[in-house]
Amino acid sequence: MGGSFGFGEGVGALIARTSIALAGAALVGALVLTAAGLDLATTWEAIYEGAIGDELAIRNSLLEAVPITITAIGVAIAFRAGLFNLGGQGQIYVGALAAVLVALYLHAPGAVVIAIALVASMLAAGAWGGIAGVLRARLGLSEIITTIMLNFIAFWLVSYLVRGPIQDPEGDGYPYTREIPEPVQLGLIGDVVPVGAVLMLAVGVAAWLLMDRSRFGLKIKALGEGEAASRFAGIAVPRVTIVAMVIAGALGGLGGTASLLGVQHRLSDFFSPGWGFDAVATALIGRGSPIGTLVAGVFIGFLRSGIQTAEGTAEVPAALAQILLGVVVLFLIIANADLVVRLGRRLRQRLARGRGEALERPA
Amino acid sequence: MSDLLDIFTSAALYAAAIRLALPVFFAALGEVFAERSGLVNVGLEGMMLMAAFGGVLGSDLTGSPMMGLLLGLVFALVIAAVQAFVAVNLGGDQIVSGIALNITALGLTAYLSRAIWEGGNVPQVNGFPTLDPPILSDIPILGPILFEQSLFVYIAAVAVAVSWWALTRTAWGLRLRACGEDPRASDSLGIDVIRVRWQTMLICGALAGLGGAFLSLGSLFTFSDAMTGGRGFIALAVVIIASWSPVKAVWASLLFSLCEAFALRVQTSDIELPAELMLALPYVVTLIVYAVIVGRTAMPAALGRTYVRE
Amino acid sequence: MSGIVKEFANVTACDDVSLEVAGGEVHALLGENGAGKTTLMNILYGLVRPDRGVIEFEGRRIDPRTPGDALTAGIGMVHQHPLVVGPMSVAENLFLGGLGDGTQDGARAAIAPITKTIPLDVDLAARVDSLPMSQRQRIEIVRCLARDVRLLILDEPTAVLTPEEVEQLFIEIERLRGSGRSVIFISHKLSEVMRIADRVTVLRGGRNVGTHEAGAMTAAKLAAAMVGAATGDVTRSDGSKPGRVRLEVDACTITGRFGPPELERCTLGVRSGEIIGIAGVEGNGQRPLAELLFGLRRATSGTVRFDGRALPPVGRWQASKVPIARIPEDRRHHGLLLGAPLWQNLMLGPQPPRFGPVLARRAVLDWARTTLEEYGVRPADPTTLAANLSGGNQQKVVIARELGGAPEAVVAVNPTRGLDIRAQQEVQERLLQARGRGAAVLLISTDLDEIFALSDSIAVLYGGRITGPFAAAEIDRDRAGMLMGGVDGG
Repeated sequence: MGGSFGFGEGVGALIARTSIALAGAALVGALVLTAAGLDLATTWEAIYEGAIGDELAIRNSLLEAVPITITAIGVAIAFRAGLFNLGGQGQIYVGALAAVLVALYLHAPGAVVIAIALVASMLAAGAWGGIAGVLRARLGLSEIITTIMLNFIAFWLVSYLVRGPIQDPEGDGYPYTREIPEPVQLGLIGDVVPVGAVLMLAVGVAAWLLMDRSRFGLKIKALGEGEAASRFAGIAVPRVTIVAMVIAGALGGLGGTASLLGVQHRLSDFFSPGWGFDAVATALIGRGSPIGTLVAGVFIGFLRSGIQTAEGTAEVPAALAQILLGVVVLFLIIANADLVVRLGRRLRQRLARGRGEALERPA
Repeated sequence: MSDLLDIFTSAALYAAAIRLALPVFFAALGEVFAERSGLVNVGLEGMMLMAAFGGVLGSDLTGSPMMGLLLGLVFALVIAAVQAFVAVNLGGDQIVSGIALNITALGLTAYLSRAIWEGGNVPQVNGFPTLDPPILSDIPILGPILFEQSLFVYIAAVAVAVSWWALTRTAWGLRLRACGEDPRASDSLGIDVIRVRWQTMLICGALAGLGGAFLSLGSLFTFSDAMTGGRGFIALAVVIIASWSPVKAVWASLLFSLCEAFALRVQTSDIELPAELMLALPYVVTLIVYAVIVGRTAMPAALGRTYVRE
Repeated sequence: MSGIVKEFANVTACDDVSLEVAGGEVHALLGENGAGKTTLMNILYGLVRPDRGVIEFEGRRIDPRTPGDALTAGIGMVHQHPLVVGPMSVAENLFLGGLGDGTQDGARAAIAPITKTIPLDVDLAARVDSLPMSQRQRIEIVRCLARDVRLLILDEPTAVLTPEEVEQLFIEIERLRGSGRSVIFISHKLSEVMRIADRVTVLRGGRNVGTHEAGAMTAAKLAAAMVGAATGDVTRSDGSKPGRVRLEVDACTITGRFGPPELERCTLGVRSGEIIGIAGVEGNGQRPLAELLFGLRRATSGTVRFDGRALPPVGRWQASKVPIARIPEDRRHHGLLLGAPLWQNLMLGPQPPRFGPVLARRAVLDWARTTLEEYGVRPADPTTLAANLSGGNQQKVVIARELGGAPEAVVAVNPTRGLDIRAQQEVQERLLQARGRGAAVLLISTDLDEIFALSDSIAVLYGGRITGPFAAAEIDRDRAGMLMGGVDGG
């Protein structure tokens, strides 16, 4: 499936198309705000202040960016293998579940517990993502459908646990666990940068090394470019499919755990406000490149955080962030559609001819 | 155990199953049209959500559920038109555009419901009541299950019959299937592939819209954020399980909804089963059935591939 | 047609082409692969939109935007691989084309006036993809004629036919001419053009280089016009001495999902330093045989061995260092990742050099550039996307990747299909070089000229069975042609 979304194109075209899409989305955003009777200048100022106005705003924006971005990098890696991982949501829940169990029930020095919690969450969520990988590789099930099913299963599993076996006994019946002990919580570096943001950066660099500097990354990209050609070239297609989904799942779990240990400190059945789907949009905007996704994720984190704050200060509708996300992706598809790409190429040729340059003819 | 037996022998379970099946079924039926012509439409969820929202808005504005239904269909058709334009005319990635439309619809409905109703407090609106047709509903057992239902059940019954006939017994259906098998050959035979695919995408939008409108106007009489709850994706699985047949789509959606109805019954009974785990059951069952059935059905050969002429 | 221009992404397929076809004539369109013949005809048939140019038909200007428009105007086209909907029945396909009502009786009635002249000996209830190419072509011809087509375009129809079927087709073309209809016959085979055409138009590099009365031309003159400069054939030195058997196919059978086996007890041994050519009409088992040798598919029974050891599935070739180069028929789907840069494509080869766990980008790029230059790929820029290369250069990338590591055996399937004549020669010379180096080369090709030009021994594939191999000197074209048609002329 999939096809003409233009992963792996040159940096120039990538930046050009993304800019066009962002400009288009900004226009739609302005229309929505005007329709809502808001003044654009004050709105923009409120969003800007809310996103990076002061140290607190920056910290909140980074915290907002971390789970989305880490999950999105996983989604991006799966994309490059030609896989649509819509299961971020379930992977986040499963990962956070494993982490919260470790954090609550393992008694050891804080750093040790944190390390084990991170590993446990990646293993659990990796396995969860791996289910979809195995189903795709061995039985040919569409991961688009299976990951969605797994989301619901993971959600109801966590919902059951936080309303029963691991519910906070002093929580007045709310569906959440006890708070994790203080030494296990991830703090800040300085007063601004959350530890989770460092984790996010590390994940971005590691993903870049994997995708651009390793043989296995080549295989993942080859699979995404063409399954038939990859199989012909001797790539073990089922194995690469499964591993790509395991990586995607593990990063989803890590993203959830970063928020669990760093922000929320307890697992609830309203733990993830749709990060899994935001991550898909983020990976698309980052065009499947680890660094691009990192940049897109941080941008989206700041935008969302800014809009959320501006909801309180300037009555900006919070749903605006969601609309913008969808619209950017829609514009990106249009900018990468077969016909548009072809028209653009022809236009450039016309322009070249207009300048009197000879048309290049392949030998 | 006797409690469980009570659940399975109560007509209410099966009546609820039919009710819960409707949104999924309508969306799946729409998707059958789209996929038979070669289009994958992952945007079902967004179409349903827009229709659910439009239904409540129209009913709230006019007081007439019929007007609500119409507005809901219009909203769903707008999404379908965007999807058709991107996927059919421009040759953009069908799956990505479906995902983008889902995200946009989620944001748009959340935004509009707060912009229109103070604080996002969506009112209860006039919907389509459960019918109580004379004679038919007096039939023992089957009466309450099949006929004491919303108008939408009757629409669904007609839709199955018409869809089956249109897809398998008409010239248009044959052309539509040809586009799904080999768009280039169809083009060469003189079939207007773009036109056929626009038609199926709009039909898909209208049917998914019916499903979404039923959710709000036929069962909950109000709108809440993301109220479709993944039913659009369930419908995608249903289409495969039903091997692209309108009639089989009935059974496949009932399979899902029976599990859901059962879980909901358990929740309100005295049975000591964890309700949340029961609510995961429909998804587990759908996943298992999908795994068992896939590979035994032949999907349209050109499914999901863009076709743009040079 | 006049002044037709069509540019694709990086090729000008038609460059100001004009063409005139008279009523009741058979007009041949001659040119190498890639000369623009098919594109020009697709424009006439409404499948491709021209960038510029005018089309007139029967005195009126027409602008066919779709094949439907062209058919309405009276222009029909039959493609080499007929564009019919495979999983549907003949009657349904005729109906999709506007004939009958989808039932067998309806279809029979609708085509009755036509089948008096051109018989359609086809089961109307059969699924089209179960029929041989010749019958699919005939369905298309009948379909066009029933729509009252006065100009019929036949796009390289003979390439997928046996010699006998070609004769049948020529009889049908004669009948069409007799009924006053015009036929445009596309081919790159001179002998066929000389036999059937009234006039010949030669295309070269997207340009019309002349229209001639067929009677006034000789095959040699047409060849010169088609190729431009005179080019010689590749020459095969007879000095090589075949060694021991390296690559062996031993009694391999592959049973298909439907119908008869796709391959039946095929046995073959390729020795080092020889080229064995497998001739045959397309669809007679080339594909399963290639997939078997490429390690993509397992035989239902029998084994494929290299140096006496059974071949593992292709996923384990790199690990077990199987030194077999594979040149697939479909470079766009199997050979190359079109969306990936050339260096990545080269890295997918059988034995790419090691660059350590973290790929040193510069070292990889340098190696890739050297390889590309050595094989004359243009541009030799390893960061170019494969999709942006011309067909010939794409094939050179595949050859560079596969032959670059000096493999000990080569399996090539239609390695020169769709290439211009110079690229064809280069590819063929590479195969001869591999043979000269002592590699065991198996060449599966539907191009009989290529088989005879390169092979030391020749076998024929028909209906999934192999006949031969015969030493090249012991088999002539007539004998090969008969075997290709399933007739064992002894």
